[in-house]
Amino acid sequence: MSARTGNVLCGISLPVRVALGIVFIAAAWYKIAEPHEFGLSIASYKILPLGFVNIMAITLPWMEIVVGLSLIAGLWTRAGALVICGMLVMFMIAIGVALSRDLPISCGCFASAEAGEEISAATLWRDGIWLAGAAYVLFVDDGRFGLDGWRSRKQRTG
Amino acid sequence: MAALRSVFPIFLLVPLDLGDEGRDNRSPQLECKLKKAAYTFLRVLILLIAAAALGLLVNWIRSGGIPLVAGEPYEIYKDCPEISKEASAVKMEHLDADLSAFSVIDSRPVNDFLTAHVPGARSLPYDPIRPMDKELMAELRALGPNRLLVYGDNEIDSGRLMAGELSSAGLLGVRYIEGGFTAWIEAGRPTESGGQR
Repeated sequence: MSARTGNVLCGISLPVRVALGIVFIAAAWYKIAEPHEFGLSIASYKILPLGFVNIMAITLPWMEIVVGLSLIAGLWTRAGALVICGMLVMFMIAIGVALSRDLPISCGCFASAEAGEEISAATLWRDGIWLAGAAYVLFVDDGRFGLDGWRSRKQRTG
Repeated sequence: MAALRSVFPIFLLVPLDLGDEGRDNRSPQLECKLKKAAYTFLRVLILLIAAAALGLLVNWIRSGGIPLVAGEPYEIYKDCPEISKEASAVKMEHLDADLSAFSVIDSRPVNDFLTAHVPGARSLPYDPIRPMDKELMAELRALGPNRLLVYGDNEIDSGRLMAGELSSAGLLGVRYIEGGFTAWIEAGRPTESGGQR
């Protein structure tokens, strides 16, 4: 891949990864503020054993924050994108299982204002689009327009 | 170790000396790619462990933290409520213009409430399969008898269902608007939008 092509591909990836980072940080906000509510959302999927629900409710939002910041800053970009891909696949499986069981539950993805909206195929599509964006960042973006690029330039010149 | 390195690139980080017989014949380019992949996996681990540690620390420090293991199952669903006592229906034509004597409750989904609602109403979306919050019930009970006026939407008549559940729970003089918010609109009554839940 030529440097010019790489610049174009990474230039396209930049807004994608910043948008993904913002989405994940925004999604984490209410989960951190209302851990019990988020625990209830996780439990309502009826997938995880009760013993793991609270651990998930406590740690998952911080994972979203950390990888969101990683993508926005372009630091450890591929690692951040890989974690986001993994999380989105996990979310999609959970939503798919809940849909197949006809569970009348809300997604629990964002603010509690969404609590009245049930999960649907549209929720899966939305996550699918984000997954495509995260996969693009994972395979294309080497972080050259971020702290990763700045670090490698510094190493080359220094 | 060679097999492990080929399956799990992270083992590329472990120094390996196989000697002439077992020399790794991968090209330097492939070696470089695998090394990058190994570093990516290592960074993934670091990100996940750091985030989990941060979450646990914040949960431990904060006042509203939750136990690491839930003590009792979450109350996800309940059976549809047995409405043993019907609340009183109020027709729009019998409803005073001044509702200041009532605590008006909007039982519709919060997005509908934000779009338009009865002025001064409070949004308490009703879900027949979720238990009503105990603190909320105590708060409504404390208002005293004949103070609650509930309205919902016309289709599933959530106002009637919620008012019935409140009455069955022992709240006195609960009423609901017959026809819900649709009837309110059709009667040409004023509305407001936005506002707090």
